[in-house]
Amino acid sequence: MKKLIVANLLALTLAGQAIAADLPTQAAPPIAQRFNWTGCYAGMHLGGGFANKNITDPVFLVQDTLIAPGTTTGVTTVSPQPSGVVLGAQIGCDYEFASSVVIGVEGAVSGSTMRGTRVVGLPGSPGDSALVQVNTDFLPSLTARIGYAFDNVLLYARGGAALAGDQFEISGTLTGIGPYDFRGLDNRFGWVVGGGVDWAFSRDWSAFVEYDYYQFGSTNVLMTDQISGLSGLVNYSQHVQVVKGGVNFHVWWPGL
Amino acid sequence: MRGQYFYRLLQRCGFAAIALVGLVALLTIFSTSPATALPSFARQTGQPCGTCHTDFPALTPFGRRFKLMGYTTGGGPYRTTPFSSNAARDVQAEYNRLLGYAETVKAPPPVDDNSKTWVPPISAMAIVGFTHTQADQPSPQDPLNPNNNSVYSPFSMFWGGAITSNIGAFAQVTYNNPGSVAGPSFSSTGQPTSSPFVHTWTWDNTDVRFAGTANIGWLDFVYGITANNNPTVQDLWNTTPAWGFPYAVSTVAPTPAAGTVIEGAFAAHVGGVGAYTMINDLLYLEVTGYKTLPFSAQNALGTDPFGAPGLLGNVSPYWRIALEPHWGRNTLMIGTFGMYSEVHPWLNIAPINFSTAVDTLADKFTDIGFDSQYQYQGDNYWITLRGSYIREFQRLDSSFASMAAFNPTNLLNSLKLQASVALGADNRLVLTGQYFNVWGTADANLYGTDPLTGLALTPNSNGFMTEIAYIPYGASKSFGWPWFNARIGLQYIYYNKFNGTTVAAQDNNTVFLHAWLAF
Repeated sequence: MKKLIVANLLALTLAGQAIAADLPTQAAPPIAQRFNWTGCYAGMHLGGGFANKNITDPVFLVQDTLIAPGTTTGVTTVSPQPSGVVLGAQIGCDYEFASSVVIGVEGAVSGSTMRGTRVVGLPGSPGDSALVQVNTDFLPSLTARIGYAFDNVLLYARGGAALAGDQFEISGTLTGIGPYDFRGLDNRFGWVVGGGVDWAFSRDWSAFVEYDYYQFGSTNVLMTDQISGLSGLVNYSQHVQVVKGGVNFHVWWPGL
Repeated sequence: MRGQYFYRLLQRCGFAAIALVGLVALLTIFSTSPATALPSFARQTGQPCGTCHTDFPALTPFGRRFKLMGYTTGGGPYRTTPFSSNAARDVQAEYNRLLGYAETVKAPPPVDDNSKTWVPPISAMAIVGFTHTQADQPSPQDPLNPNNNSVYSPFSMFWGGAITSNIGAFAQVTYNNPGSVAGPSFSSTGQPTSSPFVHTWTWDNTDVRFAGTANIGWLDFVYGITANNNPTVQDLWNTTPAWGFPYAVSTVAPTPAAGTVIEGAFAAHVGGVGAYTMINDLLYLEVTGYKTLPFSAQNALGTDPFGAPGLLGNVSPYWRIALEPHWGRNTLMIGTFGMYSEVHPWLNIAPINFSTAVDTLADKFTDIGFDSQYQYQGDNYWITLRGSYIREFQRLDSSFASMAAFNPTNLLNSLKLQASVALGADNRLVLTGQYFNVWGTADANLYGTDPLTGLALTPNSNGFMTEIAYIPYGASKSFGWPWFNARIGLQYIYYNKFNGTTVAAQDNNTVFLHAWLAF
């Protein structure tokens, strides 16, 4: 038994020496692993939205619909500038080439409190005015992005299709006729371009700040007076600017 | 006629029907026969119910892969397809190799599939339910009682399983009790007073799939083609409308009138073909196009064409994107889905006219949905959290012109937030709670006016839904398996607002006790 213990101790000692002999005399400097942007991600964002909307012609709508056709002379355009909070989520996937160029696609959706109002006088009914109110409450987009990765920092630009969910209301009271409340909704397709910087602060998480410019062109929206049931068109054009920041949780392709 | 007679018999014997539900429940509880969800799936896979379902028809991660692979997974005690079908097992083995899901499912013994007997993958289910609403329902209710109705409906038969090693189907045919649907009726002069196109037998949820696997570099693909008859019936997650909670509902209780188009407005009225892929078991992508079936085809399949709001003018595109990362026992899904449809409403659906003409103008609906699901598999339990939101933009060119709608454009939103806990393997108890909210634009012509204020009503309805369900067989295989399964549920729905008003909303609160039998 005693021989066995000694043999085992000897074996352990020899083994230990062998392991020690394999160790380098000086520790090699650690090689930092580059962040790999290839994979998919999901996250949330928060920011501010600032829109500019030109509405033509609310005066014509109210006067020629409710007073009499031909009441309005000239064309009136009002320009409410809605602003508000933008809050939403996004999912996307990226691929990083060996050259550090990153391409990807992202779907994002935002709810928004953007709201703006303007008061416009009604010359056809002296002393009366109309309150023009515009809301944008929905702002999804589907974009492609291209960027260049400086390790865990990605500078990128994006562009693609976007949609704005808009609500319009023109309300007030006409002397001798009574109250009116024209309402209309529109889903407007357009395009978006933007850019930002995405910083991967851990293996799974990144934070970003981004600026986006949305352009939705010009179109007509049919508005209906909720009291009389009469309807008419107004034309509107709009663009929206959004500044937002957010975080993404990255999911890696299996095997990477 | 025979169905009506049977229904009246049940109605007269209301207490007997309740007793029947109780008897079935007791038999189920004390029976020793184990079971699975759709027994034909169980016979094919050799797996117990709990492998694919947390609470049927709610799917586990493996259940979703089974569906993804086109219902073709074999390994059960019976031959997988009527043809030489060892290849079906090879497909599954390949998929397990790709995904590592073999760890969660016992590998089938290496038996030559062709030496087994083939049994057609046919199943059936029946739901017997007792419904009580807080207040009696207004007349006329005949042949129903004003309250406390027991109805055996629906009864369905299924083809559920593989056809070849790459093609499988879930195809349902349903019998609806004529007492629970508005069947055809005629005046004393023989003139029809309701649609003569309502049938008791109708085709129901159907999803036929082809699926395969491929490998390109570091990307693993499961790809497939789906042909189905209900947008979202092909979806893998229980956050989308076709397979969303509640899984069984009373056919006689009042329910909110408004719903988005994607929430079943065209179920069984359309045919759709689409392509899908799951990349690296992480990213699911699908595009499907839907078109309404011709009037005569719908009628031949037992579907009342007038049950849909009209005919689709063009092919309606449906899309689905879902990201499903999973780690350890956790599975998360974040996704979006939606559909664009141009609906030409029926011009005149008064029964006496039988006009199958539709308006040349179309109402256009853009449905955009977002959903998420988190699932945790404990040692002997499942926790599932689900959420979905659908925003529908309606451009009502036709309905506005015909004055069916007051507004030219409307919004309709649908939100569901749900939590579910499934406790136990066998003798599984499932507790589910859901908050639901439907809200949108007020429209006097679509939703009517408030009798007190005269203002246009909204489509708004909201409330809570709770359910406790008992599933006797979740994980075991013993004598009788795999031919039978059951689910006993007690459901309560509370309405805070119903069809735009809080006045008498609680009158519609519903208790639904039901026994769901599958065999």
